[in-house]
Amino acid sequence: MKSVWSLRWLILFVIAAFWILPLAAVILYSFAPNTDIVLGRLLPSTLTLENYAAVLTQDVRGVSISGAIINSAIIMVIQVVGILLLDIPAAYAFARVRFPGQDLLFYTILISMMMPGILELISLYDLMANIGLVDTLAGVILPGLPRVIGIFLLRQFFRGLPKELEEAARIDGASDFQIFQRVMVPLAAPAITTLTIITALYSWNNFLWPLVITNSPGSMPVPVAIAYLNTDVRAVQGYTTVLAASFLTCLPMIILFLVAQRWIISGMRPTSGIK
Amino acid sequence: MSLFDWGIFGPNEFVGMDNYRSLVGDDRFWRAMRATFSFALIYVPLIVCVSLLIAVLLHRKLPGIEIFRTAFVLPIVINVAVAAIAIQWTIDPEIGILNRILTSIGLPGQAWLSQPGWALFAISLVTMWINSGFMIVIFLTGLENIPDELYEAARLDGSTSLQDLLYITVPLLKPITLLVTVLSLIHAFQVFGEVLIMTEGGPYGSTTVLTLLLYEEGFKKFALGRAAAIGTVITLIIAALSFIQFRVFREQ
Repeated sequence: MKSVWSLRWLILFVIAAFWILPLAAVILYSFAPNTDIVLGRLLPSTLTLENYAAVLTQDVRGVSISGAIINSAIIMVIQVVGILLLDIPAAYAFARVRFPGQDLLFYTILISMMMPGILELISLYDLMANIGLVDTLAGVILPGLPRVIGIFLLRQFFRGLPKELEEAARIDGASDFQIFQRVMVPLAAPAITTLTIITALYSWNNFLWPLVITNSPGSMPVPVAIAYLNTDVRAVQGYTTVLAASFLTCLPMIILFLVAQRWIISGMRPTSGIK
Repeated sequence: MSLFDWGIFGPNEFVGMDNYRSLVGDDRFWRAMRATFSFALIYVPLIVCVSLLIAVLLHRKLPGIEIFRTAFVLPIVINVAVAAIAIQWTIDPEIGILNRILTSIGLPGQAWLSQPGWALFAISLVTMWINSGFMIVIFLTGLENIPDELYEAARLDGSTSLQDLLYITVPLLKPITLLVTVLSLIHAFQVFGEVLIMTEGGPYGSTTVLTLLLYEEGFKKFALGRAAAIGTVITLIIAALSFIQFRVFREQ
């Protein structure tokens, strides 16, 4: 029995090592002088913080990484807050309130959730161009707000809460809104936490829409700025600068993942209806 | 919009099916179609098999299993630009670590991204690296739902680990495998960032998938009507796949 265990452990270890290799190499070489890469060393000759200093203080081809981080942070905060404000009441309404056209509206939302983003890309761009939001933060943020996945996730959760709670609160004299605000929302805290984290991840990492809608380096969020830096990297600036920028901009999400892994994984399980 | 000659701010003229007609007559469209399907053919089996293998290995308790699971799921939080750069740089023919490891053990290094066959494979690797964490979690959920008694009974009958895998795990995971396959197919038809960053559609257009063609038509040439027509084609393919998914699931 023991030998079967250790064999499985060894196989996992080898695969995991390969899995982590690209990320580990990025982190290691982000602390190395650029000449190490050009010379093709396997390990850095010395470790230095100069790449990080360069990334944080200088503009590279007009891209300021600290500016991109600020852009991404603004986009993320507004999208997370906006989506929570829209999705929590909507999900509650779909789960607990009866109103005419409810099913039709819910299926419409469900279908819009299944539409691939690429279909809306062109018409959204045209819309943004016509209201003058191309290359603005508002243009990046707005189309991300009607992400209805949260409605779906939270509705399932609200439905699972026992009706007796609502009745008990009503007997104690709570109004509809008080029931929602004081009873239901606190009980839904785990699902709301999951939604918050998943939205933050999505917002920080989203690539296609920000790429399309921004075109000047000053308005780019993190992934687009990194991709922009990476073109012509050999000619303009050292690889190690791009690696430092890459790791720096991933770090918040890596930390979020390590801290909140449980929530993220529970949000990905097929039973919770995500994706 | 796909039925109009649509430019930004331009006079938007109704042209009926002309956008579709010109796509059908365009070699680049068919090449992109072929690249997209080739990508799906490489990517989907790859991610399904690798995720299943890793999930099976991760399923049972082992010392340090939490750390392994973290390591495999972590790439889902890395954005596509960084993931593509990390892998692109790892497999770079001149300065990449992979080739240096290969040559140091006597195998020939490859210029992975400049050969048409290998380029799609390299893009599949990145896409797999990003998405497999998600698929592994789905497989793990499925594995948890298989009752332990089945394995115990099989063990009493003298079954080996390999037989367990082939005769218990794989058949019972069929619905979950199907779910992962369809999700991966849907991802495959939307692959974009990896291609743009790693190859920009080259070499010789061999990795210009439909989404990249849409991007070029729409946002380089600003032929929005044509781009919308390509978007519609992609959506129809995905809709057909989803429909097949629902049909098969209902039969289960």
